[in-house]
Amino acid sequence: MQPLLTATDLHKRFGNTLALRGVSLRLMPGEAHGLVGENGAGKSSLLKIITGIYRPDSGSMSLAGGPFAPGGPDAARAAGIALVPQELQIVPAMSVADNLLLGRWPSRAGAVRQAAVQQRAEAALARLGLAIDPRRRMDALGFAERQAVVLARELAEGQARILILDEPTASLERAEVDRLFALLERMRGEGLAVVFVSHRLDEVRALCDRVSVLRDGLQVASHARGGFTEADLARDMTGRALDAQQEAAIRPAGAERLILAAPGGGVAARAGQVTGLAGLLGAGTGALLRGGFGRAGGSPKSPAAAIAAGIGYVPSERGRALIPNLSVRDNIVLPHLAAMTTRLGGFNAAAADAAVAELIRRLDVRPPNPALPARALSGGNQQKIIFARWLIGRFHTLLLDEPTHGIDVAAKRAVLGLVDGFAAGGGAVIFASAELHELLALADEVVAMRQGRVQERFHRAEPRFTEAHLRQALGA
Amino acid sequence: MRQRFLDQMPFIILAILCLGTALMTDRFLSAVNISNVMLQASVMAVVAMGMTYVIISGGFDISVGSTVAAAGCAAAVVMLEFGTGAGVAAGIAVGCLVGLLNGLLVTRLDLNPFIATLGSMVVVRGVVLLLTGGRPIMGEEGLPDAFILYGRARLWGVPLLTWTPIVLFGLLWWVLHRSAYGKRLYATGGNAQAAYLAGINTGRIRASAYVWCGAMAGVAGVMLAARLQSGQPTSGEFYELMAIAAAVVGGASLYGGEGRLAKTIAGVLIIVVLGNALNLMNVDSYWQRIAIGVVIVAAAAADRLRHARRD
Repeated sequence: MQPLLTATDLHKRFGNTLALRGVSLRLMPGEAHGLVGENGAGKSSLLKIITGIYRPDSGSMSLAGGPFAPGGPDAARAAGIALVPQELQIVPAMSVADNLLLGRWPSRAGAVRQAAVQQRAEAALARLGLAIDPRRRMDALGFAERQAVVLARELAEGQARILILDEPTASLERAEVDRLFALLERMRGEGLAVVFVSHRLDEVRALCDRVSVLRDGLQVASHARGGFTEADLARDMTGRALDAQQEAAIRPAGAERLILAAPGGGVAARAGQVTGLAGLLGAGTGALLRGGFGRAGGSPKSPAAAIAAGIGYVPSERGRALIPNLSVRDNIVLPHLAAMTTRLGGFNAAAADAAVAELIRRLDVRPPNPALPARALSGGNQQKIIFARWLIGRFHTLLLDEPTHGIDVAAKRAVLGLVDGFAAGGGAVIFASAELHELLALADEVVAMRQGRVQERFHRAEPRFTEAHLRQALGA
Repeated sequence: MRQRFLDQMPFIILAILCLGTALMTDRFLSAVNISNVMLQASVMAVVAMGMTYVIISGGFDISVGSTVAAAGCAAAVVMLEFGTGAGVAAGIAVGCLVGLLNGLLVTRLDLNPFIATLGSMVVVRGVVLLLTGGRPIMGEEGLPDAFILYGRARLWGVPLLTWTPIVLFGLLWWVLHRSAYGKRLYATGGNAQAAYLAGINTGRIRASAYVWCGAMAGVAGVMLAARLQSGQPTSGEFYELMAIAAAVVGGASLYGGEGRLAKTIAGVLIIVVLGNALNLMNVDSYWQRIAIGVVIVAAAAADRLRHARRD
């Protein structure tokens, strides 16, 4: 069978950085192809070349046997390449139907033909078997439905031959992931090839016929279905074997530092221990942590009060916590300005520089330049900066909401190491994560939440402290 | 390299403008003209520096023109009754008060800054016209001598009115770039939610930026009263536009979190020198408006270019 898309020996350089150093790819019709690699490995560069946003410095591509060198995103789209980016491009205030036909509304003499819009929208939804009312406003939909609408839009023309999904499951619940995969399965049956970019290696293994692993702009491995494990992928991505998951010893419980009140019982942060918080999307784990940091009124009444009481918080979205234009140093010392103020109200730069230099070294922030604006750093390093904030001064409790969301394997390990170190130093941690294996590896107690209620508790000492039991409690 | 060049843009444009004008007309570098340019720029510079604070905080204040008039008139009225010092204090206090009002409207009622300050711009102007009956305030024997002197005297050849923004620049620069408050201001404008999560009282910071801006408009009103030797209820019109234009020409981002005082001053000088140059070359004053409008749009376009490069 003839490959649908081949890319041969692609090179791409940005300034002094070699983003791609000879990457090749072969995509068969109907194939699901996984693309994995750490942040900065070259995945996005490769995707941007395929979707016509960048042109390669050297190397070539062919599509269905003919040469393929798209001059721009429109050309790539016309050639049958559809992309569902991580950040969905939608207009929240418009209807589902209007979003489905965004910019291509059928019109006569300048007037949009409403009936035709409705009809085409229904057809596009029906094609994917989606039960969404096209008259609803886009912002009334949840993320999974919005994503489905974007998917329907990209596939509506019926000419798409390759569908590229960039981290499509990062914000989905388990059941929604299953639904998405079932949908992709059906589209593949019609000959559509799927490129699946993900950090979630278990999903890559479940979905993909073939996986390409990128590292430092090189294709370092390619595996066929059934011929690899998640550990293999992780090793290929990082270039070293991951430590076997240690059976962590139970840490002795210290004093209760903080109790987050929830229906069904409180969630306690204990000195020297890590409390895991598990829940599906909408289970209320995020809201519970926000409340503990004073974002919901009550006690503490504001983040400022929580900080004064020695409580730190890492939100699930880094964009919420970082100020992109401020330097790495200023982002780190932001909650400590009052302590770093001279008698005249001046900013004590020397104290800040000393504290930050130490943290950058300890957390291995790269590049180790405190003067860079925070926006210049990768996601994993940005996450380290937010952590670093709470390692200055006397913070006894950390509330972490999905701190490893969307960062690469090595950065994840670094973050988990930080959490472990914080607890070892006598700190209390409450740690919410959708990745249950992380919780099981790290936490002394895992609290399962469901629909805003505490459902069940699991202690490390119990034999029930397993992923299967936890999943059951979550209702997955 | 290119980024650095773009960052210095306001100073480069100012230098080119001055050089070009000096070459085209020999009157530009005369002592009288330079002194004239300085005086024109002085009042505007004070307003624009306050505006820079608000813009950095992510806000916007179009009430400063009315505030200038209100402060000038209040200063004149109080001065005639209680003397120069009280008058100056009253003018600045009125500015702070309008600023506080704006800050509370924007943070407590969560109004859009444009709408909130549009409202106070109209209301403040109305109150001033109502209380003064639209007539200038100068008393029967004029404003106190000490105040008139402030408007005319020179120190080392430089008018006191020009020393005022120089001294204020020192103060405002230190607060912005050397104090913890300045960091909070940049942080709040750069990403209000993140600043809030870092324990910063973002509402208070945003409101305080309006108070700074109002205070500066108050100082500018006092300066203008000294220059005009009276409180003028119709003065200060278009100051808001000039101040915003100067900040934008100087590279402040209307999205907040960006802006530098020195560049705002360069922006003020670009606008004033441009007007002065066209004047010296006997260009119709209507053309001056058009030219200034073009400069503002060009500056905004340059801002976009800078951001596009960064992304």
